Amino acid sequence: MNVSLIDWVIVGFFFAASLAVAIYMNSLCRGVADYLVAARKVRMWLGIGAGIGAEIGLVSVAAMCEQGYLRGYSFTLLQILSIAIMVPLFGFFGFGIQRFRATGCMSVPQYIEMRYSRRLRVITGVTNCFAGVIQMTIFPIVGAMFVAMLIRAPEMVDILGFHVRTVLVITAILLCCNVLFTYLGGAITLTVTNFFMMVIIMGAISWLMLYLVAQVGIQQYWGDLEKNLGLAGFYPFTGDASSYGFTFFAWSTLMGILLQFSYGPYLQKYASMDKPKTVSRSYMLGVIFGSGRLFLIMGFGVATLAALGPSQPTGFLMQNASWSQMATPYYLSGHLPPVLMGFLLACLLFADITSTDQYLLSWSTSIVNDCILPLRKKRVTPEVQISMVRRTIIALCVLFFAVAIVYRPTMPIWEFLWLCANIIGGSGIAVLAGMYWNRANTPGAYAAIAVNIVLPIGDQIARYFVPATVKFPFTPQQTGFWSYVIGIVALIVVSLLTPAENKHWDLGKRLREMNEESSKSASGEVAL
Amino acid sequence: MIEFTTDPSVRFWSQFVFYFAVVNTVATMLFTVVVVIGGIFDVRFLIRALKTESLDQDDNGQVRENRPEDRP
Repeated sequence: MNVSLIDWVIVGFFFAASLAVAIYMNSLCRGVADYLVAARKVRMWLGIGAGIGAEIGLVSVAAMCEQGYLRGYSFTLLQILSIAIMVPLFGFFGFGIQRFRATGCMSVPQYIEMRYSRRLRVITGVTNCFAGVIQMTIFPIVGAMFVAMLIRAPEMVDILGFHVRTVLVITAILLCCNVLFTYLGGAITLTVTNFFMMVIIMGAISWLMLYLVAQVGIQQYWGDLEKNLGLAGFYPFTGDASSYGFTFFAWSTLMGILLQFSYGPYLQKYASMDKPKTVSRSYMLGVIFGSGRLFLIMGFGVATLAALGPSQPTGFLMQNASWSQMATPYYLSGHLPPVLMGFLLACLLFADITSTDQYLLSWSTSIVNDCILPLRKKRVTPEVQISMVRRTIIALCVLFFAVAIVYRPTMPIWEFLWLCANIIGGSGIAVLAGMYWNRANTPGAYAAIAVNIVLPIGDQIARYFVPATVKFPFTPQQTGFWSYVIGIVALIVVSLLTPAENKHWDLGKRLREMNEESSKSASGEVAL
Repeated sequence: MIEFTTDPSVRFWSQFVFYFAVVNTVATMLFTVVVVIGGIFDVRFLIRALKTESLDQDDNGQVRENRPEDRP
């Protein structure tokens, strides 16, 4: 291994400090609302900081490095176009996300029960949890593979007489950290620890980026990117097989919009904020802040491309999907000095803890609140409810470890993550229509959600049976995009054609009242 | 700052992406400092609120007809 004692000391120090914060925050946890949505007392800067921490997962670090290595900075233009759409929509107007906060719901399915029906809540809960958990299964193992390559860990180690793969040992350590931090205090702990971990993460990736550019040289860094990838390294619409393309952009933008109303971890974050305006403000600043973070992390992959070139070094016999994932940690492992390596390891450990914990808490909450408790006639006490969430967290971690044992990379990480998110996005159509259109009804919502379950899963099953020699008529992005479009049309048509009980209520009015109340209390605070 | 490629099909986008990335990255590093300072005050607010304000024990993610907030 190429990790010195000082590096382990740095990792140990930051871990102990974070654990102390977690233990203290746990002592302040009073009930379910504290554990699941931080008592709805998260203000803007804390929300941005904790959100940024939660969005830089170890798996997303690995995925962004891979994208930087494969496609350079061609994502930039997509990012700019996406910001041009998303920031006005959500940041200025708070489209939908402020209304969701005004509902006072903790999750999407809870809103679906209030607006449509309890049965649809359970169906949405089961579907979203299924896709969310499947998506999460690769988080620990992909992160562990990245770390194992970074520290040049041996392939096998002997533990208590057993000969085991090192990546499984690292996976187990990461999962134990996840359980520890999620168990302690839930959302209030994660909000505060994610914020402090974000400071370490941003510090480490900024330092690493400056170091790499200084090592490679800015001219070689950029010149090699131009030489190796050409236009495809900067412009996403070249039409090459390796470029992103317009369909990808249309699909990812539409999905990005719908996920704001359907993706459990996002909604749990919105639910924890102190008022609706905080949701849109923190969204706006978070998106702009997140854009620079993307450049920093993708830059590691670009530096790897400049230093190693697009091919594997001689002596490596990895599959292409594996090499593109491992190229960046392989390069970094041979070029980082002590201390920086320690900070990077602490950064990666925290990146894993922040995002995996946020997602674990969100999906565990949803499994308990949306899939189990609505089916029980008897109310449970807050202690039992929190205990059920904690046991679900442990069960999910056991599942992730089982997946890690059999995991083999077959496609780029981002594609896998997006494929799962595609299924979840369908419920966003029902939520959005429910908040803005008073004619939307339960059969229409069923239709939209059904379309977005059947089409993406059917696409995947069909792909499995089509021989590799035959070109499949649709790309996954095309299937994703058209699933959403058909889902929207289905909701409108079915809602118009079927008479059903309508439980629409004026969220706009409630939102205005909440914002006025918070303005009054803020001016009261100033007067005091 | 650096010499860009002479290939006209790549040069414009290469320059554009380079300057955008540099400005964005530096802005992000500076903005981190602002977030950290603001966030510390918000952590203090959160801890004070957890210690002093009461908690609605019925706010548990379940919909019940007798709660006015859950009634459309």
